[in-house]
Amino acid sequence: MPLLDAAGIRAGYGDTEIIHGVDMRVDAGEVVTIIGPNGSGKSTMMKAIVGIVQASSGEIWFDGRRIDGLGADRRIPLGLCYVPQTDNVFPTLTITENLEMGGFLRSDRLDGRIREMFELFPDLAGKRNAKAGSLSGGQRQMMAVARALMLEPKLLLLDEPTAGLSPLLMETVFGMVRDINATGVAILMVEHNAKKALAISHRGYVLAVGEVRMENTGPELANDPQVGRLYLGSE
Amino acid sequence: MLEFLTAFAILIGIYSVFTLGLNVHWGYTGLFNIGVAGFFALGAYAASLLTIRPPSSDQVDDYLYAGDLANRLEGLPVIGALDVWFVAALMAASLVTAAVALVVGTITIRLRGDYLAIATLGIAESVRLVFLNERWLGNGSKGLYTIPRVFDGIVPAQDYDRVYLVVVLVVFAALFLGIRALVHSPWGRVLRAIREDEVTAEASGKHVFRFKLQAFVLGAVIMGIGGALYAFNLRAISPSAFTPLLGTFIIWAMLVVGGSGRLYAPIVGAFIVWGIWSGSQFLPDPLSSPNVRYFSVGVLVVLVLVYAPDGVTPLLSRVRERWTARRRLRRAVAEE
Amino acid sequence: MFFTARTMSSPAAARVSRVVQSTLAIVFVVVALSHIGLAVNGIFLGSILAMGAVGITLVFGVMRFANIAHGDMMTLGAYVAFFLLVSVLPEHTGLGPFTFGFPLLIAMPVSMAAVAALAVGMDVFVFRRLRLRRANIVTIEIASLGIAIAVRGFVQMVWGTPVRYFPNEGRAHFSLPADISIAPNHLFVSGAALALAIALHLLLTRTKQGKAMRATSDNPDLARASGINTERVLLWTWGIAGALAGAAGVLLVIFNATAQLKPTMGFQLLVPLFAAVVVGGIGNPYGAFIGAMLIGISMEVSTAWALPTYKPAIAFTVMVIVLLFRPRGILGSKG
Ligand SMILES: Nc1ncnc2c1ncn2[C@@H]1O[C@H](COP(=O)(O)OP(=O)(O)O)[C@@H](O)[C@H]1O
Ligand SMILES: [Mg+2]
Repeated sequence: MPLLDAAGIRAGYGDTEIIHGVDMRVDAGEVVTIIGPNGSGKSTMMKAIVGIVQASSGEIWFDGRRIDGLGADRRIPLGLCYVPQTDNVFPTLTITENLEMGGFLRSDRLDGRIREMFELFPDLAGKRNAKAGSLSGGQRQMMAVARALMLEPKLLLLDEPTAGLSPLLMETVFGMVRDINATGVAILMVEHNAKKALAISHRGYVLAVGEVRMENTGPELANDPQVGRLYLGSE
Repeated sequence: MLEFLTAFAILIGIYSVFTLGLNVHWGYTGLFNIGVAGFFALGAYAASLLTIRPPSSDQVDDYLYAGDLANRLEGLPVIGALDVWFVAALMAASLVTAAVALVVGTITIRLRGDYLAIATLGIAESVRLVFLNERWLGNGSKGLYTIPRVFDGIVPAQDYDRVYLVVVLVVFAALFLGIRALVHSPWGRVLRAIREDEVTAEASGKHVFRFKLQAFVLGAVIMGIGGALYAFNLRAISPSAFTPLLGTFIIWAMLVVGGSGRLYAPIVGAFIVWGIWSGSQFLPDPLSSPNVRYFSVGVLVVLVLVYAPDGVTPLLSRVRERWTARRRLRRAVAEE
Repeated sequence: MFFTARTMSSPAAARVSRVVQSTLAIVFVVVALSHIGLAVNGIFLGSILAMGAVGITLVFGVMRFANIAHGDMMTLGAYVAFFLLVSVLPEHTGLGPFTFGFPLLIAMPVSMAAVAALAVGMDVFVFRRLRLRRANIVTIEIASLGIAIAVRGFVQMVWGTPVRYFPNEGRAHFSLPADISIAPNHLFVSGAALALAIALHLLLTRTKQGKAMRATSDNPDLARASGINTERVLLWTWGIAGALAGAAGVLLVIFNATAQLKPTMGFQLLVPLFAAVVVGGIGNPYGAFIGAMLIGISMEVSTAWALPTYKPAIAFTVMVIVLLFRPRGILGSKG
């Protein structure tokens, strides 16, 4: 049984439909990458899965439960956490407070998990009382991921985690994705660096104009000449 | 009773003018002006100062400047249907409000909705405070009260209200037809596009700022003309008429109740709200208190916003549609 | 976003702007110090403005709209206390050096609770419905204007339009050097305001619910994506803003030498309150506090030259001046 199973999802903003019936699936322990041209609805699809945008039709099942009728605050506790593409930290809150908000739904003490996060992201440990708005681009991305990991999710959704980062930092982020996955967390990410992302992915989807154009294993998609054309063609 | 109805109709006409101006601001352009009272006051004082008699010599009055236009232009023929000085007063009201709106608009129109609201409220209060405190200008809380009658000498004083009602209706009709033409013109279409989606309008090459400024000035001028009409109605004005409550809120209530952005909203809204406002004095005693009016109009606005967000006008047109449909049906049945 | 077309971009212009800003700040301090008596009064007035402005800014932070009913919520708080003082609580005046008696210490928390309940009710019955319909911000704003008028109408229906007074007795002022004379009541006002400000600070920085409020204000979507129930945060925010408004209303009465209440007392403060919010950086409670002090001091010091009735216009002018140089207010973020 897949961990996440979305079928026939339609979603959009107001009266504009952006996603026109998308099927998507993530199995436990998988890394799955969505690629596609700008504006094709990748972020919107993520938001529909998390519940920030409500799907107008289709079904979303997560971990054996149907979740498409729930609000975001009811989906998160089931174990799916999300890092938005932009605005993914609370800028006027400190690093520690950001992590506390990530763990808002935990009823136990957060100290232990926060310590684990600082071990995972040592860069953040030194700035625990700094405001998240003061972080550099790379640190901010770490912060955003750490926030999302506070609830020990089963599925982590990452929307363009390497956007705006230097090549070196990109490698760090992809390494981090692999490390997180190694602990058993499934990952669904949107990525601009198609080749690198697909290289570490089990499977991938190509999304264009709100529809899935292709679906295949990561390496095969990465080497598909058609992907290059489709993807680079509209860049 | 007839007198009451005439006075009632005049005020509905005048308030319809204000609401027409506010509809240009908010209904068609999306400019959140909660300083209607400011333009209202400017129009009223400009028209009054131009036409009042000089201060009396026994020093009961503090104002220094008086246009006394009605006397100075005495003997000039009545053109069209209106006194020359009256037309001049309306033009003065328009010019003064246009000038102030141009300055205020240039500074504030780029602001986000709620900042614009704060700015317009602040300006309206400042205008009121100036007319209240600068007694050399506005005669303080006594206000100005030697405002002349239109058609004085031609129309007997006891008929003034009925004649003035016609004047108000003529001015309102002219403004209303002008706005109707504008709304359907390319200019009006641009305004609606801006209201719907400023970013897209800007992207499609429209100079959003300039259009908004034009609409701001136009709406303000209409409010200024409304202020002038207001001044010549009771022929006495004082700062207490320009409080945020009487000068702004009630006009917003009219627009909201009528249904903002709809052509007939000003008339429908003015009729309903002013009906409640002034009709409530005929209710049995505790209900006739003005305080009950504040409360009920406040609650009415909230209820309309929550339950009938498009106002009452669409409800009326739905009723009319159903009527005509039923009549058509009956006629069809009769022809069978 | 604010004054976009005029944001200073070149380094030279930025330097000029900084010099002008510093000059203005120095002029402000010098003028305030040279009228120290008035400036001290301004701090007391500022404490009251702060209680209102902080509430407006907190609500703005989570709902992105400036609540026009806030002034009238203050009025209601004052009248609730009036009702308790004259009809329910025992008669007593002249507690310690103050003009009021101990019953005020009971009436004030009750007023705060009453206005908090009103604020929560406003959200549940009006604003939430508009929000769920995705109503335009200005529609929400007009609804708050409608509520403002309804609250004022309610106050006038129940207590009438004539001026009312809290039970009080005359008390001597404390006199300090430099011709400063301080009414004991004013010390109570600023003491109470300070205590509430500290309590709010602790709430916002030490409690989970308070941090969730700040998080929601920072980024509502991310707050929801963190599992925070933002609707509940909104209710908390309204409750706190309402309680502060109730307190501000009561303090406004005892700030007045004759302990006067008028149905328009709150609405008349709206322009200074908004000015304080905007000057401090809209959405930032600490900024609102600083803005309130700046506006309060400006308003009082201006009476050295201008008629006191011009105070709201002074507040407005200070706001415009600050915005010309700092479009996002004193503590507004750059982003
Ligand atoms: N909050 C929003 N409101 C309205 N339209 C939006 C919003 N966010 C995105 N869109 C529109 O939806 C479309 C898809 O956007 P998005 O899902 O962000 O694409 P991608 O992530 O693939 O680049 C774009 O045309 C964009 O303009
Ligand atoms: Mg995207």
